[in-house]
Amino acid sequence: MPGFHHRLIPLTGLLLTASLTAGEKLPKGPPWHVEYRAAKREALRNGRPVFVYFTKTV
Amino acid sequence: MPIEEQLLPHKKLANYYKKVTWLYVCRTFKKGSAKDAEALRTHDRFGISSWPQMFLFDPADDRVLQEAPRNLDAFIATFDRVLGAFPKKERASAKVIEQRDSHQRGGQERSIEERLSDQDPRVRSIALEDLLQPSKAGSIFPKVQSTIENMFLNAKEDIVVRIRALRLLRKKAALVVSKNANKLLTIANDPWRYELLAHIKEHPDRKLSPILVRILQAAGKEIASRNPNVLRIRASECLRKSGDIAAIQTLSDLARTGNPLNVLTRYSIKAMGEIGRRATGKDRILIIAELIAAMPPAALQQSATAKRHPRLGRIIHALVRENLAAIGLLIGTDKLPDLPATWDAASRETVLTSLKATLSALARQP
Repeated sequence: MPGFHHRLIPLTGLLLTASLTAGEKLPKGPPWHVEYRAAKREALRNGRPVFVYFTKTV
Repeated sequence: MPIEEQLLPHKKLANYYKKVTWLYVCRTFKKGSAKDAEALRTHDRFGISSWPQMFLFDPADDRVLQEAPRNLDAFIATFDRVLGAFPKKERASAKVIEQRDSHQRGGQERSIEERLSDQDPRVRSIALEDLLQPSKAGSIFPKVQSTIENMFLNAKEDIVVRIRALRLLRKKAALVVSKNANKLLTIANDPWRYELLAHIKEHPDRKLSPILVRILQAAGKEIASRNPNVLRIRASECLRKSGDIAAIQTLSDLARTGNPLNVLTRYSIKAMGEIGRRATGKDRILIIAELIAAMPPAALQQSATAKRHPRLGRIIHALVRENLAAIGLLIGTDKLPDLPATWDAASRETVLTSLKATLSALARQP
């Protein structure tokens, strides 16, 4: 059913776009944590400092 | 260098992927969003009030080690400097980490008293956030008031918890906040100070004038702040409500020398007008003179700043209107010269001559 799939692709694209907006889009590159406690746990286990990038949705 | 597109993805930073833990926090301002509530807690913890911000902190005590600049070379140098000074050994045992995660043991079904006394500050913070919901605190608050007051006053309490305790006490026990505002304004966290300043604006107190003036003078210098201009703006709003003659020199300096594009310049003029209205005799004459001296120079409209900001002319004109309104509070609007259509050297001279004549007449009155 090629027609069915063609209709699904843009819909999936739209859903992905929606889930990536509103602050979900991480800058490429670093292995980001998105939660303060999880970042702290990892940093404490490994004896590292934490780098924070704070931003907001536009 | 654009942060998200160029700086953070830069391949030179790959060397640091395993030397540093990377945390991304984004405020979405979505009402009822658990994720945004968590982001707000992190913002409050580090005293954030403007974006973007980048820095490194020590996970053992949340101490900020260094702000990170936007230039790639300086950014890398900052990482090297912090890592060079950071102890290499493992910082915490698995047991300590487990204790820090105690929040996972109990859920929302526990009583509010239990949650307020949990060892995990996040649990205490969320309990207070629940109490801040309009329908929640009601009959429970009297039972937990002393616990919340202790949270608010205890210097060793987690700052995120203290900010929420302050918000709750503002609603439920404003007097406790007012009684302690002076000493608590010294805590170096902007969201905390903004909350206290909002309280002081609602509950003006002349005794707080010295510390408010001090914030105007020293924010961003001796008074550490991530956003000193906003801190000064909020302090000036409080002085408008409760300041006295002792605040005038500082406000006048800001009004005379401030950038017209900065809201603080306008707020300083407004505050001077309101303080003048509460003043009498020579104090009031002095404030009128200071307001006249704070009239913006006409030359600003031909300056380099004006070329960069096409709206500067209109903003300066609005500043003149603000200044005349403030003077009108003190001499009566019937004695005010007309607001000129444009603010040039000639119209400025006309306005100042008229105002100075009125001031001289007032000064001669017994």
